[in-house]
Amino acid sequence: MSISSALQGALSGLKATQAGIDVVSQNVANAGSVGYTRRVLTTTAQLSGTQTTGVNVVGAERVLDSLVQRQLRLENAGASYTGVKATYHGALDAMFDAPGATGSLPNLVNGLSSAIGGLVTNPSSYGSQTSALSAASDLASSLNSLSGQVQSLRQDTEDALARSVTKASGLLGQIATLSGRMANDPANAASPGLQDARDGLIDQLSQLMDLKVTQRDDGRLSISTTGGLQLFDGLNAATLSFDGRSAVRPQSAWDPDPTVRSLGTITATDAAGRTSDVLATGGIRSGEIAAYLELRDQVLPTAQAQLDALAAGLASALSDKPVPGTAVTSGAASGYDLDLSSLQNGNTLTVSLTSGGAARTVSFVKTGSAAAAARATGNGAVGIDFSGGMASVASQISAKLGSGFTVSASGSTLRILDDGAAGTTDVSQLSGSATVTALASGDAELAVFTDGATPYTGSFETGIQLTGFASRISVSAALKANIGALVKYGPATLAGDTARPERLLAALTSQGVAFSGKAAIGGSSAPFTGTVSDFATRIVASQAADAASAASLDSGQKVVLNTIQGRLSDQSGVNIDTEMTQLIQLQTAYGANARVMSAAKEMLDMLMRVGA
Amino acid sequence: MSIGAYGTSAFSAQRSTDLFRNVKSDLSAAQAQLSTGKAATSYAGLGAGVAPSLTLRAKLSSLDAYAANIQDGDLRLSVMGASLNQIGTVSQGLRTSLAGASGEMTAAKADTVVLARTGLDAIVEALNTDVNGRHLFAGRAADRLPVASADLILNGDTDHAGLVALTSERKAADAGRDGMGRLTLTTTGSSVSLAEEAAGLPFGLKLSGATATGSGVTATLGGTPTAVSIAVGAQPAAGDTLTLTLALPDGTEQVLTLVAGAGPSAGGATGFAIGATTSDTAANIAAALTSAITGATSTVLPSASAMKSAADFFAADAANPPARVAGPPYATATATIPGTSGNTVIWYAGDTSATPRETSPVRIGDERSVGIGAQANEPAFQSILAGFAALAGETYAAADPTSAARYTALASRISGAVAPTTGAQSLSGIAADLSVTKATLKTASDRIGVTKSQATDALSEIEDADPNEAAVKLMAAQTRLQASYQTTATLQKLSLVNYL
Repeated sequence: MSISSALQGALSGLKATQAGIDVVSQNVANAGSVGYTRRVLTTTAQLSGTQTTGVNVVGAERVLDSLVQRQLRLENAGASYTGVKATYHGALDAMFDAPGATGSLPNLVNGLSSAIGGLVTNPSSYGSQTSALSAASDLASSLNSLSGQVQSLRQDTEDALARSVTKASGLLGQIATLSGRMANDPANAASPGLQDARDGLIDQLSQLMDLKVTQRDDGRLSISTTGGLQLFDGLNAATLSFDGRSAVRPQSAWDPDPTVRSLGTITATDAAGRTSDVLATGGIRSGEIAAYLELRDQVLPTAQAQLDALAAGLASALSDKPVPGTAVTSGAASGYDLDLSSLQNGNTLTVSLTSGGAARTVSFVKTGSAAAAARATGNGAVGIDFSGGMASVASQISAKLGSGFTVSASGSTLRILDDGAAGTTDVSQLSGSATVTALASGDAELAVFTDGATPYTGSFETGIQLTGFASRISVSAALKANIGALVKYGPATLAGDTARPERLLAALTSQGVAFSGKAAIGGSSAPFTGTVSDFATRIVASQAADAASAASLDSGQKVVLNTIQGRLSDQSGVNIDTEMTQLIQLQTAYGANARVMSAAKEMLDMLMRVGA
Repeated sequence: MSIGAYGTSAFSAQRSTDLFRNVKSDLSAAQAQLSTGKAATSYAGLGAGVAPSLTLRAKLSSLDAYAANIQDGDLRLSVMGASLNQIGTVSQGLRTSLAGASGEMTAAKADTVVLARTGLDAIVEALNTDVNGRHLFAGRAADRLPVASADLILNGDTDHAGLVALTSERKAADAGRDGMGRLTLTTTGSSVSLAEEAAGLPFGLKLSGATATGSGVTATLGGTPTAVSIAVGAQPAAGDTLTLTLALPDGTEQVLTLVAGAGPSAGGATGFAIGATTSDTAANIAAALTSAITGATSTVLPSASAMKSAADFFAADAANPPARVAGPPYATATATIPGTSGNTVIWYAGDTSATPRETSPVRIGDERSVGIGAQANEPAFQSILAGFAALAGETYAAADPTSAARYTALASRISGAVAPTTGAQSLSGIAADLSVTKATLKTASDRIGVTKSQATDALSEIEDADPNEAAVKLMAAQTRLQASYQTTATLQKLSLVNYL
């Protein structure tokens, strides 16, 4: 308790207010800086023994609510995810052109129906024939172009993944470096500037993936994804790499097996050099990267599958001829005969039967080799290998049907019989469909569309013909060279015969076609059955609905993000008014401290005078 | 989208920026709606309206296609109607001329023949009408000229015999060498027998009836080949009649009535004298029959042969070529042989469907179509063509004493052919078919118009922006933005910095 201690106190007060003004000046200067959180100066009373001797400046601290920060990072990931998805869904929707635009897919399908309708009215007119053919060409090119757009979007996602993964890996490296600096020196560890810098890096990373950041007792951070992928353990960061592919095609797909896979995957390498396939473990669930992965592996392949299903349905409806079975009885057993000679690889035969009181329908696909049969069976159909002759075909079918049925073959005819007198099984139908390939086949069906130079039969011989068919569908070159075949189905067909145009029209407008379940319209177990035009409509409607829902999800997510950002801003942002108020207070405090000092000086002077 | 790195305190600024941007985008959306009149530029923008919009567009497209079909069909029906009118007018003209020329000079008859020839040209032209390369009376064989030219039909060419040649063969075969229409007359005592030359002979006159009145003469029809046995059992009384019915090749009948009397003719009918004995009378009857039959074979029979020949000719097509007389010699021919496309003109090259209307369906609704096809070989056209061609192939020389009778016989047949009896298909029947179809097309077209305008309205409800609503939206957004700007500016001024 002395004047000198008062002087000391005032001096520490002056220092503290100077430090306060320093913090205010930093706050004001950095009001607009990226990643800057407001600092406040923490002071404590300076104690000497039991005596308070002045004020002690502890340091500047960040004003930060870690709960809000964590939330912000999750919402950041969510917003990036919905943002990317909304952009790509919007692009898919825009692919189908504006409502009513003449070149849009449904309009081209309608245009083909109209042109074929015109051909029915005027079969012999060259004008009707060419306009039917050009409508078909327009539709085929539209499908080619849409398919190309889908694949180029897919290529974009592949490229974007490469960029995002590189960026993420770079950010992780920076975080590791920064953390290292902070760990080496306790002064660094407490530095709000370094903390802000590290948080800024993590925030950037949080846009790419969903992060879980935990602060350990020793102050170090540990970063992993919510899916459990360890990214940073406080010392070392994992390296992420992406082996992007440059030619993404409809057939390209990701696969856990690196030898099969034709799309890139994300590989995480930890400090010990262990690698893991992030896609196989499902380590990333949100953020840009997850959005790109979902688009590349699900959304865009589904869009492609829809186009493929439309192309296949279109080609098959026009070219496939039903082959009816004939009812037969043999003793007490009854069943059906079916001549399989006209079936091509990829064509189906369907048997409806009842066994044990349950009715079911089984479809078999004709294939030319055991490998193709296995491929067909692996893709939702039941493949039958025809390479071993009809006896082998009968035994394969018999094995699939189970007991209670007698399957036999004679020549090219397959016979399926029930169990006769026992009456526990019943064969109610056996039929097939055969792709007509010749122009003057004598059949009303016509292969208007082909898969390049080969007919489309949906075969499984060298890969799955359906996959990417939309990118290859074209108007048959033979038909282009012989346009009259749109009407003439045989050598003696009259020019005005409407049989073939009527068949084609019925195939387009009234015939129910079952479209592949992979197109995700109607679900895979109950695939959509309807006309080609209906299906085209469904595709556009489903893409539009997806785009609308992605956009609304994104705008909802933005609102959430804005709210969280607002909360963070309210707490951690620099408010000039607050800083100015602080400034006035500090000015006053400075003045007061100076006053104390000057008063102490006067008192000391007075003492000096007394002594003099 | 990518959210940029942030300055924590810049968030509030970012919020107001976002707000301005949203309102701005509302403004430009409303502006776009006003200027384009469309509610959205992509399907996603239509929201729940996507599926209805697409379905309505599909509906409109099919309605447009039906409307185009109807327009096309209507044009063809109009052209076909004009053709039928032309054929009707020509036929009517010929009938009038036929009736007028009956009693006239041979010159008038020759004029009628010329009229038939030009008429045939006109009919062939009408039946060969095409619209945009589609021959309307060829059924499904729309790319072929259905009917050969009138000249080829009548006269053929170097390799192919035309109708005139076929008719002359037929006439010779029907008349027979002796002009007795392939009948044989024998008199034995008081019996006269008139028999067909051979059973089943496809040529000549056929005996189809024989009756006698009075008690003296009996006439019996029967036997193989068919014969009429006339027995003069006792002398007939004057005025007793003997009536024979002869079937002609074209299906008509000629009745010969012989009246017993002193003179060779009584009341216009052929008469025979009652002789001294029954045998004399029989001889007289035979003489009268000979005279009556040769009379018929030189007047009625040629006309009937010409009609039969023409009918056969026009009933033929490539798959069923016309029957020709096996010969020469034709007068003694006993069989027909089918002509071939190498030696005989086949007049019709079109479709031979049994249902000509169905050869050209016009689709006017999802499950509705009407047939507007026609074929030149329909019975009504065949009959008219046969009539015109039969007459056009005849000659009526002034020097020929049979001219008048032949003309009259042919004229009555042609009148029947160009205006067929009830039961047979007539030109007006075809015209009625087509006009009913035309009316159906009109009704369908009206219906399509109504449906189309409903669909367009519904589509506009979905796809078009309501200008009032858009204007109100625009105003509201404008007001909002102005207010925001003002408030922001005011708030920006409210900083403690300004008051220090």
